[in-house]
Amino acid sequence: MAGYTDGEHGIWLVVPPSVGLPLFLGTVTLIALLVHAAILSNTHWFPKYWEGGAKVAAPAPAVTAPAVR
Amino acid sequence: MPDPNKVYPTGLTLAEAEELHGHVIYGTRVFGAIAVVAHILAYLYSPWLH
Repeated sequence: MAGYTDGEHGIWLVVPPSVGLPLFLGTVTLIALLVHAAILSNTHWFPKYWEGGAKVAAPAPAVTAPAVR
Repeated sequence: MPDPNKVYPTGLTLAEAEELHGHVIYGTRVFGAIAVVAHILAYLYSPWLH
């Protein structure tokens, strides 16, 4: 018979929150880490971005004054 | 009618399950909203998907 426990909240009557919540949050965290790891290892710009302000180019040569005749 | 005092195998009553699920949904929405903003910023300011 259609239960009073119908609906998504009914899950907490079957799955204990002490199991379901860590499982849910842990899955979200795992996916986030996997996505970042995948981007990190498959792009050039993402590692560079995480590297931060490391200098990538040599400083521009000093501008020399134009020769005056 | 549901028995409001019935304690289900997880140790929760129906009202408690509904309250808990409300928090779960709210947290998911907040997380989702932050994620949407983060993805917009990532798209705008990184080479991602360009």
